[in-house]
Amino acid sequence: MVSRVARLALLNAFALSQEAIPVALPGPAQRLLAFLALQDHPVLRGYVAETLWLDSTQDHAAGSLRSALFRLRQPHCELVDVTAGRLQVAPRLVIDVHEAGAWAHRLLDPSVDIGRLDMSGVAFVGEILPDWYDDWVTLERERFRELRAHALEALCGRLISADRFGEAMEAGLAAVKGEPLRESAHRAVINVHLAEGNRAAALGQHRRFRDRLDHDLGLAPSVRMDDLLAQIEVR
Amino acid sequence: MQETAVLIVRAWLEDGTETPLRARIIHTLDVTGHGEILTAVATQEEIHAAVQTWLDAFMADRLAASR
Repeated sequence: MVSRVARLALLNAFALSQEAIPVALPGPAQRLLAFLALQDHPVLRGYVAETLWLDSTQDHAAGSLRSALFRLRQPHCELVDVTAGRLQVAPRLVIDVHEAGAWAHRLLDPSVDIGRLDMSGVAFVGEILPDWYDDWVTLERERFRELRAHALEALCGRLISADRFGEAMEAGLAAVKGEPLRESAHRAVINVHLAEGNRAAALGQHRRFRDRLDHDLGLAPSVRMDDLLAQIEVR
Repeated sequence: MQETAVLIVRAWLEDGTETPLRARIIHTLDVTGHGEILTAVATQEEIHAAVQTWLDAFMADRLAASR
């Protein structure tokens, strides 16, 4: 079999493509592929069947799994490896969440030179399968969301150090968009404005955060934000 | 998925404040629709109240439907 590269997108919505051509899959096959894509190791067939077909009998769940696996067979492209009763996504399947996760881990590694990081095509926004409510999706969605928030803030700081302010702002604003009440994300944006010498813009960002925090929670910014504000005011 | 409701509490702590707790609560009473509701709270009591309100609404919906 000639193996072609397939891409699986889980951010924002499920989308499978092969050689850039969309591949339609029925719902159970989508769920199976998404589940395997979110595992970090091969998983037993029985575990997969019981997790994905919770309300079914063991026999029915095993049958549903066989059916879904059959629907995942694509000409010229393997999507799933089945070895010794365990399932995992095929190594040639490129998955957007894996790419974004690897990118985030590299960013959080201070030994990685930011100049060598290719950020083209990296997902700054988007959630893992936002309208799926299975437990196995929800937990991964939250884990990924947290990882990306930290990575975006780290990216923002490192890009400031590299005088790449436009990209730094993009990263900072993406962090704010991810959680508008996250103070460290707003501090990252303020730091970009300060690094560029835009004091008024820094004050404006501070004011927007303060107002939002007051409106949503009836709280004031933290001491750390006050310290940053003091830096703005003495400039 | 029938008769399933979901509530997610995403909580975190902010440094440098006497009230460090923040929580984003996302909930829906019907996972087959797309009606997620987002709220933000900053105390444990508010989180407890949000969970109780959501659970009460879920039970009321299901009990009404079963009658």
